[in-house]
Parts: sequence; structure tokens; C-alpha cells
Amino acid sequence: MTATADDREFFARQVQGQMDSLYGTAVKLTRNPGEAEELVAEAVVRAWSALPTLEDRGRFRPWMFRILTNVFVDHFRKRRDAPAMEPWDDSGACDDDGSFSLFERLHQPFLLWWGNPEREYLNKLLRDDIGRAIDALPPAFRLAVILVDVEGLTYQDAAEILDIPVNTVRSRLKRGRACLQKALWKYAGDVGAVRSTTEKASAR
Amino acid sequence: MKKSGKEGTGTRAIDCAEVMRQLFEYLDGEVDAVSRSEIMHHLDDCRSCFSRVEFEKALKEKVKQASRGTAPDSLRQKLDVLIQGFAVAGEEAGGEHGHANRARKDSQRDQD
Repeated sequence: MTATADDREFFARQVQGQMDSLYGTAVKLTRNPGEAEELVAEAVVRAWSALPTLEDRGRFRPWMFRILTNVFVDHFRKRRDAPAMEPWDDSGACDDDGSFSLFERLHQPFLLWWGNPEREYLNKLLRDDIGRAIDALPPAFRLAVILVDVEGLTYQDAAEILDIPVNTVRSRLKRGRACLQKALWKYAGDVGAVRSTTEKASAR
Repeated sequence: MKKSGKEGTGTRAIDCAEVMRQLFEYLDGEVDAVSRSEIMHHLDDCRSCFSRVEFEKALKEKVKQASRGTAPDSLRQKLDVLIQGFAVAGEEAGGEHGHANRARKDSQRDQD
């Protein structure tokens, strides 16, 4: 079936509306702005070809994210040298079982009368620290965190985008967030933010 | 461990462990209305759980703000040109035939 000018107008409007989200996700996947642009362009071309199969146009956003993910898996990961390949599954460098909690590390009830270490920690948390912590996650965990925490997609949408069961989304989110928090805790310790926060509170 | 509920409201009292078990699904908007109400009632009375929920909510927002991307103008312009070149009924096809044909082959797996 040949697309109409209305189809193209709809498509252009949707793509423009999702551009920042698609590009932001692509940057997080590729960790390279140039490759991210290529990834988005390739996904847009593929999406146009597949548009007749999109039965519910209200579902354009998750559908487009699914295509972006597939293009990344198909083309971009193949370009990397084998040793640099990252596993696209539940294995990888996310070595936490999902139990690490930043809050529990920071939360010291005996200090609560003198200050709020959690709030002070959050105030000191830098954008770069968060970016580094997310980039350090294995791609499967990184993408689950991006889709739900950054893009606000539902677990069901994330499951469809990643072509995995909803419970796998839950477990990837749990482990991904724990690893993210563990990395943030480490960075905070490296720059002395945690020590200075607790020392300041203790000194009061 | 604190257990709280609202007398006379019919809301089941849940304890801190139950709130922590559902913490992230609550923040992600993935719990049903009944569970949401139970958690909210617990948070009204439990400072410890309230602090944890507020912390995770703030951290989630920080992650969101730090990870948002802004597409460069060059990409917007490139895609505008690309999309306007896509063939539609009644028009001559644009210059993206090779690209689009390759994509058509790939698109089969996206159609599930």
C-alpha cells in the first residue's frame, strides 16, 4: 500500500515530537553523538517503511523506540570490535543483585536531628556523575533505566520495546538502579562528597 | 516495624517491608489504585518510609534531568529533508530509494 501525503505529514509530526527523546536515548546507547545521529536517521528510515504495520497510531512512541532499539542491535553493535562488544542480555558488568541502596548508606537516624545527609548528598550530585554512572551500566540495564526513568514509559511498553517479559523489565530495572546507585556512591566517595556531608552533619 | 492503616476507611494496613517491596513500582506508577492508597496511607504515618520515598523520587528526577538529550539542529534539518524525500502516492519518489529499500528489508522484524 502506498503511503499518502497525510501519512507523511503524520510521520513527520511524530518524529519531530519525539526527536529529543530518540536522540537522547540514542546517545545513551551509542555513547557517541555522531553515531547517535546516524542511529536515529536509520531508525526513521526503517520506521517509514514499516508505518503501514502500525495499527494503532496512538502507539507511535513505543513502536518508534522499538525500531530504534532494533536498529542499534542490528547495525551499531556489529560495528564494534569483538573485545569491546557488550552483552545484550542480563549478563554483564552490573554486579549487584538489586539490593544496594544509596539511601541506606546515607541515612543515619542519629544524625537526623542535626541535618539531612540525603538532601545534602542530592544537592551535591552532579549531572556528570549521573551521566557516567548510567554510561557504565551494561546496555540491557541501561536501556531499561532510560526507558522507564527518563522516558517515563510503562513496564509493558518497555517489555514490548525490548521484546522481553514484563518481569524481566522489573528485574533489569531493579539491578540497573542498584548498580547506578552503587556507582553514584563510589563517585561521591571519590570526590569526598559523602565524607564531607556526614562530617558536616556530625560537627553540628 | 510500623504498621498503619486508616480506621473506618477500609484501607488495609501494611507494614514498612510491604511498602519497600513495592517502592519502585509505586514511584513508576505501576501499582493499582488499592495498593497506591495503602502505600499513601502508610506514608502519612511513617517518617522513615516517607523519607525513603522522597529520596528515591528526587534521585529519579535527577537521573531524568541529567539524561535528557536535545537533538541538534543539524539532525532536525537532516530528518526534515529525509522525510520530505519519502515517496507518497501522487508524487515522484525522493532521492532516498536505496536507503529506504534497505530499511524495508529490515523492517519485517519490527512488524511483530
